[in-house]
Amino acid sequence: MSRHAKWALGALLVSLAIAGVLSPYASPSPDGLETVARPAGFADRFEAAPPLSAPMPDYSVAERLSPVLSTGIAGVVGTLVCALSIVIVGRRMSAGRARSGADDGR
Amino acid sequence: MHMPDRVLDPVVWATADAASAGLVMLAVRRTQRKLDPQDVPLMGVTCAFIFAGQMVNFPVAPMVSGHLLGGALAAILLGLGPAVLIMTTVLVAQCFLFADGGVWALGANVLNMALVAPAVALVVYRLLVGREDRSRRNMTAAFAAAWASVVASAACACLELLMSGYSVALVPPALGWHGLIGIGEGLITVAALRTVWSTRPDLQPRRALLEVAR
Repeated sequence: MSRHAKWALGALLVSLAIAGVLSPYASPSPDGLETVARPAGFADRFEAAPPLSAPMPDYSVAERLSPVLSTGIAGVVGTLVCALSIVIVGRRMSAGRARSGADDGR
Repeated sequence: MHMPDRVLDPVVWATADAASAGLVMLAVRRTQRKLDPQDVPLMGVTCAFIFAGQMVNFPVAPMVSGHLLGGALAAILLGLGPAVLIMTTVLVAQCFLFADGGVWALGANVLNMALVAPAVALVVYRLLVGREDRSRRNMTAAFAAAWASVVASAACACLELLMSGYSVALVPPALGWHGLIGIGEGLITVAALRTVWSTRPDLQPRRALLEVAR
């Protein structure tokens, strides 16, 4: 494995640890927007059911699991989905670009 | 800072959806023209780190928290186009997998966090950064860029709320809280950049800016 590939793997593991292990212990207090939503009168909207049901609402995979485990798993899944999606998109984009670059004789 | 549904006026969210769709397409085209295949793994781990970081709310006052946005980090590491795509990917995943941020409001959230945040961060970073790599000056520039990106993002959200008929009274507390959250954003962004630049000296602080000029 190349040095850069090892670096990327290390960085991914750090991100997975943050999402999987640290995130269940995040502050449960409302964030900046939720804080101003109370006096402005739209705080209840944050709890409303979305028009499309999400598979892991509120970063929780299953009610019967402990909150720490449930949030941790959701975090790991989300992190992997994000990394994988952008890598697939990026590969397609740079593949097209590399080909046209090769045509230029570079 | 994720806007839920049924907060913004339909005209406001529909306009934001259209504007964001157009601007993200522009970012796709731009990135397609110049993305280096070697940057793709870095995009992947940046996206992973930002998603993970956004899950970890940190307290800024009793009963008020904030979390990393990451727009500045992505923009300084990779340039504007890739940063827009990374942030949009995170927001789309949060919206459809975790119901974080409204579906109709997705365009507003993309506008605030995926477009305005990285763009403002790069403008500020570009103004303040020096020639010397990894200098204290460049870290200060990154901190300022990160702070400004959060406040600009909040200002954009305020504008959408005002256009939807909410009272102007929400603006000072919104900007105040995000001014505090921006300090956390600055600290995390600087720590992440220091780590990346010291372990990967080939990625230099002025790289993203050269990409803008190219």
